[in-house]
Amino acid sequence: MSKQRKNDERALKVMIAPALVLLLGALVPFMRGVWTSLTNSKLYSSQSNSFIWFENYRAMFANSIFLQGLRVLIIFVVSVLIIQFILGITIAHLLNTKTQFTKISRSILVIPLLIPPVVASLLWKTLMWPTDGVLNWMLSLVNLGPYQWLTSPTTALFSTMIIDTWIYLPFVTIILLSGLQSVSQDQIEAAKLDGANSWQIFKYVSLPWLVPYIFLAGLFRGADAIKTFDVIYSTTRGGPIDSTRVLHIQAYEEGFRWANAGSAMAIVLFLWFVVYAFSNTVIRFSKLRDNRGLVS
Amino acid sequence: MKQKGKQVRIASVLTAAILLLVGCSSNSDSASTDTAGGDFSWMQAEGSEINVLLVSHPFVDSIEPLLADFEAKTGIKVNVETLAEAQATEKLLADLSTKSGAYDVFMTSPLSNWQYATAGWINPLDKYLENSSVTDVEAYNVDDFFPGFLGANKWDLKPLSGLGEGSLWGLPINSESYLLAYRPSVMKEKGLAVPKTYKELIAMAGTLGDGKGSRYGLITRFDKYWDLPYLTFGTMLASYGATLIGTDGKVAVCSQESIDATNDFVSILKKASPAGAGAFTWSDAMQGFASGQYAMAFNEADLFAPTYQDPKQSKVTKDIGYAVTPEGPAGRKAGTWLWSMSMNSATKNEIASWLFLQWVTSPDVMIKTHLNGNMNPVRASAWEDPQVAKLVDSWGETPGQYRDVVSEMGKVAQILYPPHPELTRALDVWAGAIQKTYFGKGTAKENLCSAQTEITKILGL
Repeated sequence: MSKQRKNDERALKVMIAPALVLLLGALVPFMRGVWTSLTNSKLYSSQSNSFIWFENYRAMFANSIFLQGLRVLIIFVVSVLIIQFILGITIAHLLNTKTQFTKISRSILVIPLLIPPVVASLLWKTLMWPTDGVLNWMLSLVNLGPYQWLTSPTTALFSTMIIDTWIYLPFVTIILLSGLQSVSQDQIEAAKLDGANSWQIFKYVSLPWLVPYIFLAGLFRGADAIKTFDVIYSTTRGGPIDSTRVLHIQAYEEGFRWANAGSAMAIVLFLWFVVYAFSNTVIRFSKLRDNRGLVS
Repeated sequence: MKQKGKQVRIASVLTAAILLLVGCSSNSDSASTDTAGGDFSWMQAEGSEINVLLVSHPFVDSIEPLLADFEAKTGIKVNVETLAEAQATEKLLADLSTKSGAYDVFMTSPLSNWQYATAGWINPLDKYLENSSVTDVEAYNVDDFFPGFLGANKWDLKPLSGLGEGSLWGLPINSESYLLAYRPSVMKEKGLAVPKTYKELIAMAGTLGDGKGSRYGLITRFDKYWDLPYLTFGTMLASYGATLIGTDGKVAVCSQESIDATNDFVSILKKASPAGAGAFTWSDAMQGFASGQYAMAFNEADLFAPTYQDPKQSKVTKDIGYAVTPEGPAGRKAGTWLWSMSMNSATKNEIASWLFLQWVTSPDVMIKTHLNGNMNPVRASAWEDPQVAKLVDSWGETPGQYRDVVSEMGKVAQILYPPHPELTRALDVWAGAIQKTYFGKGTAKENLCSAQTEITKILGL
């Protein structure tokens, strides 16, 4: 047994070695990024690579554009989560039946997930073109619009939320649908026998079952939304003015337009911290809920 | 047997030594700065392979059909990657800053080169031009370039000065200045003459559209990036006497001239452009005018003319005229833009890269690209070529109109602001202030003065 145990331990070490190598591969650039964020590094100048402690972070928090970007990001994340979960639960509930229509609908539902986000964003940009876009034309048929969509500071952020929802709603819906399909049929039958209507069955039987799935989808979508870049960069590039200039856009501009590596890394690390804190909070809350036996 | 083995070993060592020497000499691909002759040969880098990064632009369509000629002439394989301007700049920055040498040669501009040259990421090209073993000096005829265009690619690396001096960092492939493109039928219908001053343009701006939304007055680019105060709106700024750095050496973005120009520009756009005008890129402006939706393209690039005149891309080919930009309080001034080609200092194919640069900017290849839609010529011989003359003479409301306008604008066009590695950022901030004014977030004075403070910090003044 001792020899067996030694063999097992050796096998374990061999199997986790690749994972450790990958981890090192991720840690080294991460630590390098932390170091860069503490310097005044500019890519085009070898002379500007001095250690300046937390000056980049101080300047970042004192910068009104950064604070505006943070505000825009919070609005974007909270809004898309609310919109996508309300719509996601609604659509999942509607698709939670076994008919030919729902079978076809489920196939159509995944189409946005197959299109690269940048391509989808550019398609929507064309649809939303203010002077001759299809969207304004369709709205004009019912005497609505025209709207500026992505070209006005007052509507640009909302327009990007529409695009983000179109792309990622299927992801949320599929997770919630799988949750709904795991609801115990016995409990539903029992509720019906007790005289519960559809809404009461959904509220008191299905929804509690869905909570872990909501946490799961919320964790992924929330982290994604905090890091959002492709939808916004493809359509507005952070404009008009700074109405959609979320933090990832700012980091990209600092690093790739203006070659300010130090400032760019400071923003990226701040974003990393936000995603980490968000994910940790969701997981802890989910575990707390489990420990309290709130899962039926 | 032992003797035979010894002979084989000696022969092997000698063979290896010979191969090593031959290999070293044939693999070496760097240009000696010794200008004392060697016969030039286009095949001297045969077997090499180079990677070229191009920016999505009519130049790309004009050069791609010719690449096979280069490959046949030199035996050098060319791999071309074409990206939209923003993406190309950003991907190039990643390559240059890491010195990976993924791209040997790339399409760039003096503006970007201020940063690249400061960082040592591009090779100065003077040494190749002067070296007759790598350049067919007579056929290349460097004096055929318009001095201003070649000079715009020279800089001595001193921030905010030294333009036209020092090393040559790129070779120009086309030149651009700005003009009015208009629809003669619309002007006639409205009983309007082409505006000669900005005052006249402001007066007629509200009447250029049809008022129904199917045709608007004018279009110009207006996204919040450097090209706005540097090129198109920069042309108007200069005509009002506004500039980036004043005569006192301080940032002058908030001068009265700049405020007046900004207010007038916003006024023109609000009267004559659709509500989404505050976010139009240069591509939107070019395609918008070509689609026939606008009566005028305002201070837009003259090198959009090949697109306007191409029936496959434009609905206005038979109804288009060209005019010089309006005069402002400081007369008629204009910006200029040069696309150029430069060499990555991390290239592992120096000679092959230089041969490509030499070929693509040579007199006969340049003429072929102009005939394929790459405008405007940067060499005197190209303008004198009968085929180029015949092509452009048909452009405009009257024969030769386009050429006359370009020639006239060429007398006033200049690189508007002095070199600085942070010039792009400074101009982005300026553009943001103009855009804020358009959208009513503060007055022109408030926004420009705020921008001036920030730009002063950026430029280190």
